[in-house]
Amino acid sequence: MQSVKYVRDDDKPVAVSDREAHRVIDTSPFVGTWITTNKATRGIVRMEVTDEDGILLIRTFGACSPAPCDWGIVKASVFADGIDSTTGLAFSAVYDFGFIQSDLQAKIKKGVLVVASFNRFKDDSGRANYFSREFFYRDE
Amino acid sequence: MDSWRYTREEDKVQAEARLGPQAAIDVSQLLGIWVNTNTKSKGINQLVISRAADGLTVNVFGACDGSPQGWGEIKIDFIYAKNAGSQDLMAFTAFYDFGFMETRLQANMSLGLLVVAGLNTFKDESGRSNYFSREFFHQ
Repeated sequence: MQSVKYVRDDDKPVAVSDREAHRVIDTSPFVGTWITTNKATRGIVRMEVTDEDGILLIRTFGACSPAPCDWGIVKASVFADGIDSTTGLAFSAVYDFGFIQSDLQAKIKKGVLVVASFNRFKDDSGRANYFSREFFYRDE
Repeated sequence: MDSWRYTREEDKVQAEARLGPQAAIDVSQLLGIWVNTNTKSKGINQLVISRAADGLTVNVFGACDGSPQGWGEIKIDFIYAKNAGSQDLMAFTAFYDFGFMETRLQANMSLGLLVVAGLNTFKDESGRSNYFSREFFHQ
């Protein structure tokens, strides 16, 4: 039997013999349009999440005046809630605008999409890299 | 008038709030040993964050068969303030590549705790699902 490498107990499968060769994480919990719970946000106002042939795609809209800034569509990586699970819990995506890079980390918690944003400026504007965290509800 | 580019209103700062190239985010509150609030964690037991000549380092200790296992000291990739005009530390990111798996750590401060998210991606053929973890640490 091949030994499985790990760096913490969470990495160890509970039942090795039951592992599937190629797990597919269910992206359905993420799919939809997500609206910020903060109508006065200066960050992200809306996210549109779709699944195309098993690939999760994210379209994000930033708070800009007079209309939201469309960040475009990027692919996301999806993560389960454990190594033996196919239940989608979180996804990550990267937007590289040249002058700023935003690494998004999103997870579902009690039906709310919680999005953490790690924003890194690459220009010489003197602005500080910054972190933000926002909450979104599904637009039914 | 500033002509800085932005993707959202948060990216904008007043000229007087601009930090300038020499300004640094205050990292003092991050330094030290952070211990998991869950003593029965099967994920990360503790993190040790230190100052180095060219930035900050982190050493993570994973829960392995009842005893912590050091993952090795690595450089913290980036630190983040609470907004684009701030010097108050809010978050950091770091990256471990174990060969068979990559773990991207994305950590942020919240109410005196360090909240550490792990984006864990397997590169081997073990059939394990990539998974997300989130744990809480106190100093």
